[in-house]
Amino acid sequence: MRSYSVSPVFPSIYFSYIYNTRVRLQDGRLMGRLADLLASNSESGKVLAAVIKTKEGRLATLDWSGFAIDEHEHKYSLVCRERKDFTADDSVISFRRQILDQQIVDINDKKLVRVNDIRLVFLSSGLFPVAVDVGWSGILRRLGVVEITNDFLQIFNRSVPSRLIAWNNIGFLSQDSRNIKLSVSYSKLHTLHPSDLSDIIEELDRKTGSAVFASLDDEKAADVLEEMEDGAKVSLVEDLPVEKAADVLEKMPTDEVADILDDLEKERAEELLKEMDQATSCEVRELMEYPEDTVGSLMTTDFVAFTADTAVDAVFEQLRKTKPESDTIYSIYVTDQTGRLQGSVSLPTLAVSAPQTTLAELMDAEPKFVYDTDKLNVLLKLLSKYSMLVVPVVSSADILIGTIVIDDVIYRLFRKQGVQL
Amino acid sequence: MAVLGPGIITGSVDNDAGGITTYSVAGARYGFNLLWTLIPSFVVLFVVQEMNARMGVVTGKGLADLIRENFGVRITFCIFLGLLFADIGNTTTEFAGIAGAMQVFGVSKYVSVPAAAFLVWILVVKSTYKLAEKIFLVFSVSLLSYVLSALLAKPDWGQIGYSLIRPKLEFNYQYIEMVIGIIGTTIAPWMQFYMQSAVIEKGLKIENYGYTLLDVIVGCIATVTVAFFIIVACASTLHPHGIQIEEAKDAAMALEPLAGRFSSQLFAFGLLIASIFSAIILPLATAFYVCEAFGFEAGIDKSPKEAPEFYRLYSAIIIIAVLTVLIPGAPLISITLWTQVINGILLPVVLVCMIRLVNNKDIMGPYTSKGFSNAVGWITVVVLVGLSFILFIMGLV
Repeated sequence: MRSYSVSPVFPSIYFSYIYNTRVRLQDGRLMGRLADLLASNSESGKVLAAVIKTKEGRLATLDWSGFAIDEHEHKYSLVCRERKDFTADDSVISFRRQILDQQIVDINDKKLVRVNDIRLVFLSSGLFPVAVDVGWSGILRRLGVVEITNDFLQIFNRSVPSRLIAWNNIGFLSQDSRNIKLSVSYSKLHTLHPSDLSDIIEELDRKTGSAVFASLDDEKAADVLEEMEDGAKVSLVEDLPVEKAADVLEKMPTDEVADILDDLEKERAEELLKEMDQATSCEVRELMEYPEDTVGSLMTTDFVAFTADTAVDAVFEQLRKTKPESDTIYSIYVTDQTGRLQGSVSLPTLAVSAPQTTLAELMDAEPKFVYDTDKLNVLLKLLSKYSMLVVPVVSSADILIGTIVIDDVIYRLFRKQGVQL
Repeated sequence: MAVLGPGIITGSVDNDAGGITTYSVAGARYGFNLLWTLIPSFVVLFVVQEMNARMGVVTGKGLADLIRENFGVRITFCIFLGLLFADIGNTTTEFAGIAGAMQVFGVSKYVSVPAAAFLVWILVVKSTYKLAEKIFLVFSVSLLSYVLSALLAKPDWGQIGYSLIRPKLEFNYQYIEMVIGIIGTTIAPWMQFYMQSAVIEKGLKIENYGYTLLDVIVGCIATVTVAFFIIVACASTLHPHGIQIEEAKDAAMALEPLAGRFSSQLFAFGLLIASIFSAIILPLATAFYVCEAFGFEAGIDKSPKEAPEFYRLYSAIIIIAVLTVLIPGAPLISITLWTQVINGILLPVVLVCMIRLVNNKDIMGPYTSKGFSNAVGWITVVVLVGLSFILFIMGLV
């Protein structure tokens, strides 16, 4: 019979071996059964406390340092050598409620998995979780048949496939009902790329997905929102508190915001528009007014424009200061003082020109453009005939009011055909 | 489809081959004497579906997920083993329905069943089943032919009323088997999982709860009404002549008052539609929930490489069902009835889990069950377990 409390031998143990197992006091009397383990939220995840369901049916949370694990022929039980109360604060992780049988994010493979078991290891400094088991071996172990199955498979020279994910590659999702520190729990998820995050949020149930989304900072949230499918976008924006939703929407291209608000209920859309800053909300309102098959409904109001006498180096300086999104600066537009479109210069042209050259010398003085009220087929003809990537949009007074990027056109075309992207 | 709520859709799916067969046999064997079972069935169906709808709306999680997350691997394994077993049986029933229906048109089951299996499999794998779902829902209106037929047979309404209020209860094996079967086919466990998922997919929120409730009631009324008229139609046409239903053809006679010579064809058509519809949904739903519960990738939007367990399970269910039906001389009606009894036996197990989930404050927040819902739930569990136990003992004796 071996006993481990602090042992330098590094044996490992699975949570399922000790979950619900008997807990005895030093003198052999039965204390209860192990209901849960609480671990720290730090990188190491050190086990801090044990939750015991006493014989009388009550739950007692006790410091782990007072416990030892006894092993006898692969059967485990706990001994409570010293009973020290432990007050759990918001930052502890409950194995039973947040990990075992719950969904978590595999940060490396960027997908959702369900935890079947937890692998722990004894170090001189304590008991630590090292990995979660999300594969067949975990399921079979919980059913108590993993050894038999392995013995059987040995006949064919195989073994039960094991799928373990390292503890620090896990993003927790389930909220312990007491735990209110969202951002701490979801911090691992914030390292994921917006595309991956959006895939994961789409797969989650609405509540958890919204909670994860709400924990992101505004920039990241805007990036993730852009990647999501339309239906999911609307649900997320509906579930956020108004101030946060407005902050996130302000960071997105105005045409995207217009599309989202179009799909919301009128009152909710109004609330959000009022909460957003004046300039953005005005632009969005204007965009929302365009009928669906016109250029105006597709355009974004983000663009970069200068007067013709601006020199190349001044242009770059301005760009460095304002740092616009990459797809808005592919073409720089030249306007007069009233904002009327005069010409366009592509970014590659700018990059290879001498710094003192003015835009007037470089620009295409007869730029191809469309009116905001033009129907989409006018735009399509232009795009295909002149192989353009971005097209400027002008008002009836020839004032430059927005641009259309070819990506948006393709997306809208596919949606019309009913193709799911 | 936007108009149709999950309750109504589930209500339509409820009248599958198993349902039609069970209600037909009930009417043929016992006349009006089993009509009374529809009253408690309606109440229980409503309470159970309301639980599912509420759980789906409040948690946004499927029933399989909730069971796994709150009851652990062992219980989940037992339940889903039972569910898988029952659903293979249910799928067999659907294909038996297809076989029976096509037999009326003179097509041998050795042709119709593999063809149907292939059709079902193709529809799913090519992901066009959503369109098929819509088409079949429209055609399921053909079940209304039972209503018309029952009315045209001019049944004795007085006698119907009397049997509802003062049913002639028998205490023998066959009778109890029938009672469990009727409950099992009206409140099939797999439908609870399906219903909850449908609610989640619809994206309903707790604010629309009133609409959800209405939708559930309408669905239940639809199910029980069709059941009622199937029993009455069979009771009026088959029972007086003592015709036992050995094959689907026999059940077609119930539509004679309405369709005369064409009763067989009309019946066969209705049965065929209902069976194919359910044969599409049932194995798909089962494979999906089993995979969900154990953390395997699932869904037809994933390729077989991404979700191997899902596709293997789905194919296995269909293959076993088809092979069973194709066994020469297989007693299709008996298999069908027995599958519904298994549903009835499995129901209390799933129900207990559901009741515990729906009363858990951590999961449901302020939306835990009220007294009525719990009372009905527990009474149902006790009654069904009791009946199953009695059946078991009687079977041994």
